[in-house]
Amino acid sequence: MATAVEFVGVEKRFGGTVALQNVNFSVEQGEFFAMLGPSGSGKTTCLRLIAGFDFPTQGSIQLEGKDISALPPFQRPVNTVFQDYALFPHMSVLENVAYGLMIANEGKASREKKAQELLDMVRLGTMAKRRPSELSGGQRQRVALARALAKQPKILLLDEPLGALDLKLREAMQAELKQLHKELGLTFILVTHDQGEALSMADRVAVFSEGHIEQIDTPQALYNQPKTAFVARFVGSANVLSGSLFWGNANEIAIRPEYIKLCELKSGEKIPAKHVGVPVTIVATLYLGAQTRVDCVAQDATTLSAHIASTDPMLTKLTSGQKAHAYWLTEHMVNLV
Amino acid sequence: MQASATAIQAQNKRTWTLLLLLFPALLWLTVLYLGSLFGLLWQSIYRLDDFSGQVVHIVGFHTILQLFTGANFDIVMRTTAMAVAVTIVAATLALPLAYTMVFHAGKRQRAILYVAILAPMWFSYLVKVYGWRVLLSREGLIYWVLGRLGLADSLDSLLHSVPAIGGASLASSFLGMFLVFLYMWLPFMVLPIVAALERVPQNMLNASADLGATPWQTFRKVTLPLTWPGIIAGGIFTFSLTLGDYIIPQVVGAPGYFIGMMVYTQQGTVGNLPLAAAFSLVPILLIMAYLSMAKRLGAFDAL
Repeated sequence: MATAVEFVGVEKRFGGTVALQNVNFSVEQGEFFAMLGPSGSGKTTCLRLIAGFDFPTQGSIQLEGKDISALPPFQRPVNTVFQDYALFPHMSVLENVAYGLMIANEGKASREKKAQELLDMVRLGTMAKRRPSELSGGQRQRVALARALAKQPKILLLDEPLGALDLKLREAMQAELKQLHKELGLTFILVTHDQGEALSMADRVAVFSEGHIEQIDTPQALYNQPKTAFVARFVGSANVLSGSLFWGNANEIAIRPEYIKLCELKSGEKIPAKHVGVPVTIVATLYLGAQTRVDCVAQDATTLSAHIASTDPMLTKLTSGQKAHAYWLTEHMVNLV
Repeated sequence: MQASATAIQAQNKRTWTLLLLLFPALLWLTVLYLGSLFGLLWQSIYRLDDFSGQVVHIVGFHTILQLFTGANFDIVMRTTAMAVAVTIVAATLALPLAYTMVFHAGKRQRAILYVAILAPMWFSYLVKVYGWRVLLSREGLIYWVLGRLGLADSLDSLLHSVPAIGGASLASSFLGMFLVFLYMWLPFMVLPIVAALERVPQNMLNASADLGATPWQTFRKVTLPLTWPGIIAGGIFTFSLTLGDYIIPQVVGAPGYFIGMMVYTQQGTVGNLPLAAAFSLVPILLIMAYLSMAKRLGAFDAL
């Protein structure tokens, strides 16, 4: 598969602050690629560099093998869905969608026909004459999507596109976007701080932290084999422990809360084979519905969270201050770098 | 039952508090302002008896129709033409200035520009008008500079040959008067445009560029339409201030009355209150026409 976009040694500084340092990655054509990270981690800067709203301080950005680092945004064959949609308030929905085609000097009849088809595709065909201000948030989001697709870009950039929607709508739009990606076969690059969104939609996810990429992997690999403590904690929730609790070296290990089991060990009893464990003191239990989160603290003051099925009779015994043993299968434990 | 009575009492109390707070403003707006304006305009349906010089309290359109005759109509047209010219040129000058302030100037440069625009407003109006008269006079700075450049004669021949802008010298020409109006009202045009440009979200401009528009196309298709309300607001100032001013045409410029001067002399020296009232009706009607035209041209579509 050919490369859609590639970052080569990209650095971005704003005055004295470094927003990105030595970023290298490439996105394949037709891939759904997500850039995930907390705010200020550099993921949005990366998107703006691809769109051309900012330019790299060092390094180059290549689009299908061509260096586009210095091209202004209006010369790049990529289009963006903005976080706040950025629809033009003085134009109708149809004119908004047709805007890119109008700028490209396409005739009125032909561009309006195309815009109408796109609006039909996002199920807003009847809203063409309305102003953006007359639409709901979800509808505006779909207009922004139609507008960004009108010029058939090589890459569709999505900047936190679902951030402003409520939970139900967001989940529906996630499925819709994924479906759309499959139908169009375009390269999608999504920026999000919501790990659930990245995991559920993307083929591959790049996790950003403090201006660099911690790990690029498939959602499954990110979750099951996080390489760093940051990734383990940011993608899903994880307990990060010092290896010194079990063996000599101080390398960190990660263990997901759902893999942790709790028991009371009577004297002379041992934890089952192929498991490791630590003695802990229960701090609190939180009922979450199907599961109950049990917070406990190990000898070296490391806190651990375990997700126990709420139906487990063991839970009734776990009161604050209770001594217990936390254990898990060795294979579920991940060594961190 | 008891509870709802309490709720009604509380509601009443709120209404009274609100009315009490609004009372001074309402009194000012309705009685003092609108009342006296209406009282003034009411005068225009009376007429002045030419022999006795007394106001005849008979309702009719005689006085208002007088506006459309001979010299009176010239005054209306002259003032309107000046107001239109000042508004158009002020907008043309203010737009690039405001655009630079909002999108290109650094923090410091922007502060300096703000001060440069606002500082003249801190000085006395009369001082500025008379200062301009000195500047524009034959002995003034402008003639001196043009003289040094060898251009003073061409200015004079321009002023003598073109009737609409001309006059004996710059200080007694419509061109001179126009320059003073432009200087005086330019800040009133710049500030609303700056405010309007500041409200254009950066993302909107990015979106336009993202869809392939060059900076100039973005300006024409996005920035300018979103700025129209500000330009129109600035135009209300420059237009109505020019229509109502009676000092500048008196101090600078070619002979010939303006609406403001006419109102001033008719109600004072001449004592023809009905005609003064009829003249003061003109700016109100023109502003209304201006706003309805702006609305029809879609200036408020972005609001």
